[in-house]
Amino acid sequence: MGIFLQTIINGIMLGSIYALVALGLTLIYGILEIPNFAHGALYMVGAYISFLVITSLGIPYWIALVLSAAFLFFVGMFVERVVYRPLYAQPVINSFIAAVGLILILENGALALWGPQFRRFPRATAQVFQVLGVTITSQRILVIVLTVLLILATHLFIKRTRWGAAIEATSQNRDGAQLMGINVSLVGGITFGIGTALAAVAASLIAPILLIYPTMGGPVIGMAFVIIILGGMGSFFGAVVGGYLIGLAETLFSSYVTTNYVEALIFGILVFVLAVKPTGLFGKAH
Amino acid sequence: MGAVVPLWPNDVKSGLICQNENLPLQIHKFIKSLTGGERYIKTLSYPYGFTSDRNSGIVYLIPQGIYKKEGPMRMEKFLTFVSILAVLFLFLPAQATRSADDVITIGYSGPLSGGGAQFGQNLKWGLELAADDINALGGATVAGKKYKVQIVSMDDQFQTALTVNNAKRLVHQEGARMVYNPSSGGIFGLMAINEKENFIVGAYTTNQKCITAGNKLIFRGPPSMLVYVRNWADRAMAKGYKKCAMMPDAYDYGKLWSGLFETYWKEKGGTITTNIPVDFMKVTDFYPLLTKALATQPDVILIGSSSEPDAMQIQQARELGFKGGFIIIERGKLEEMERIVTKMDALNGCIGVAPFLMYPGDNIKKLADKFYKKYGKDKIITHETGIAYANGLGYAGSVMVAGSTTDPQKIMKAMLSGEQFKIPFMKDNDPYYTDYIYPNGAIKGKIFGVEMADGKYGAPFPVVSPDWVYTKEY
Repeated sequence: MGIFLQTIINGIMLGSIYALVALGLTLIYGILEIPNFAHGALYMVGAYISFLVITSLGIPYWIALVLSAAFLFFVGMFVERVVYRPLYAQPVINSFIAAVGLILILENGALALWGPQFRRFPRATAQVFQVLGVTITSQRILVIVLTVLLILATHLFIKRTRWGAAIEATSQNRDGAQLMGINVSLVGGITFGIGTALAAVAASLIAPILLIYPTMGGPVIGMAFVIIILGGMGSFFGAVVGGYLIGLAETLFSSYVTTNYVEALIFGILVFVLAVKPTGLFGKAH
Repeated sequence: MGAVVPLWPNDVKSGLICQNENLPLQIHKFIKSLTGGERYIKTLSYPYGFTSDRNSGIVYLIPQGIYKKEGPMRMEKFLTFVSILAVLFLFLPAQATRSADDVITIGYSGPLSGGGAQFGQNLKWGLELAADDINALGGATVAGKKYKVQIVSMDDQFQTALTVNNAKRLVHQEGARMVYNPSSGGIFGLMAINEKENFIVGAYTTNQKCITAGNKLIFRGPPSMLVYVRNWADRAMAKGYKKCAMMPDAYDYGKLWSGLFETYWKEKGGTITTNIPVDFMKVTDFYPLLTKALATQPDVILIGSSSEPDAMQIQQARELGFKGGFIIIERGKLEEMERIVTKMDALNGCIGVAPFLMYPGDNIKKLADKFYKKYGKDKIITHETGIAYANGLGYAGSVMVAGSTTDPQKIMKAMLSGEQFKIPFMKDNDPYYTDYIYPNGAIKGKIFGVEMADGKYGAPFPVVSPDWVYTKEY
């Protein structure tokens, strides 16, 4: 029983990170219809910013988290403006190549600026709790709780605010939104900013549990793409549900079957879902 | 930037543009009027929306999309140019300089970017320090003439194809007669061409197959893998550990190591409770893997991808309540792991290579001083640096013994004679006090291990092994 519960908690924790990263990715896809492969590299930059702010300025973790998200919001807007906007009307392959270029620039930039070595957040004495044979640390609780809050906040932002309505309208019909006087270009920038900020939060949350290094975005971004395809490209709930689903599937499968074929399982789920529902779990047919 | 000006319906309003006239010309005029007469080029294929009033016959134009200003700055072109330069710069191999005649060139191909960058860097540092030391003496004396030593390094990101390309370039363009490489894949790639292309492979690997394949132009720096396997397993057994969960790294190296370990461990009466390969570059969290490993209730866990991930794994295993020991594959260094764990106590029960600075003898300290002076106090000196340094010195020494800077056959023969170990700069500086090389090119390692208890290091113990471990094929 203890092991089962532990596995479930592990899965939720992992799913939280996946969901946050996938949520940002799906928002961006919904508005701009570009697969932002550089999302993982921006996630890495978010982790480094938190780390640097904490170690060089000595400010508390919470504030670093917010600063990193804010900074990456503007980085996201900048990237959209400089890298992706000039490529809007061109074939998707151009954006794809631009994304690969961006990954190279960001990863090698991080390597040149901060070096290849692994970085570790300052050693805060993580509180360890044991409940019903389940081990959980304070940081992990923070990951789980904050993710839920952020998902709710993003949802409310989209459903309840003017800007949110503009984002939703643009994602439903770009031309229509434009004819209604929405500045779709600015909406694109802001959405990209929000998506990137979510990635920065995810990275800052996982960083104290893991290590920081220039290529840390790789495994997460691969998973996030699987998740948004599974959930339906551009679908908000697809990303959230997909994130938790994949997180749980991964941990349950590793615990009870084998750790060796996790990727086969995940792509198996993807293939199955796409065969039954080609638009993904929550995707709408075009 | 300011080079791209978007126009939106709400900014410019719709206007009358066309009544039985040339439509494109009218559109152009209209855009001109909106933008103050400067020339704009449309970048979209269909940048206009239209709506018409049937009664009056007026057509309204709604511009949508992006117009590019054709200004004198041509920012886009400039940016493109800068990006191309930047990309070229990124892909440019490191410090390629042509070698002069009075120089001994040591070629190095290793991972200097990507996941293995730190590892590759550690080795490069070792070679550079060796070159510095010999050059500080005025160079190596070969057949009565002084030669400086230079290191030419290239990045291969652990990719065999790149390693082989780099090696060809190092040999044919840079004049290197020895190419040093730290991955068994890359080394096998080099072994396929080195006898034909006539250069020596400096192998930084513990893989036995590199030296038992019969290649005539290879030497190997670190000891055989089995040396570590046997010593660590013996120590763990002596501590009473019987049940071992294996969590080696998921690639060739980890598979080979854990395979040898499993055989030896079972021979000695131990059991393997589970085998969970860990690919650190794909793991987001260790809890799921550790939960599974700990469910099998092991006394000891075998781990080993590299120091920092190992340390995280140990830290998280402790959080999950694991009280037993860890056998650390030699790629993990306790002195690097120290920096990662929350408390030193977490490392209790670890068996691994002794921290470099705990080794006996003065040469270690000499090297460490030079290292910190050159690369900074915040860096950590490890065995990779130490072994590469010793190998760099040894190679230069062999060139001196051979009396030829250009003939790899002669240099190799000199190296296998072991005479280079007697040269004063080698004896006075080699941190390992190396004195023997097997006929197959394997340098006999003088390695120390250590056990940890009560948050402290125990006394380092010399790692011992019979000769067959270096010479037999397995």
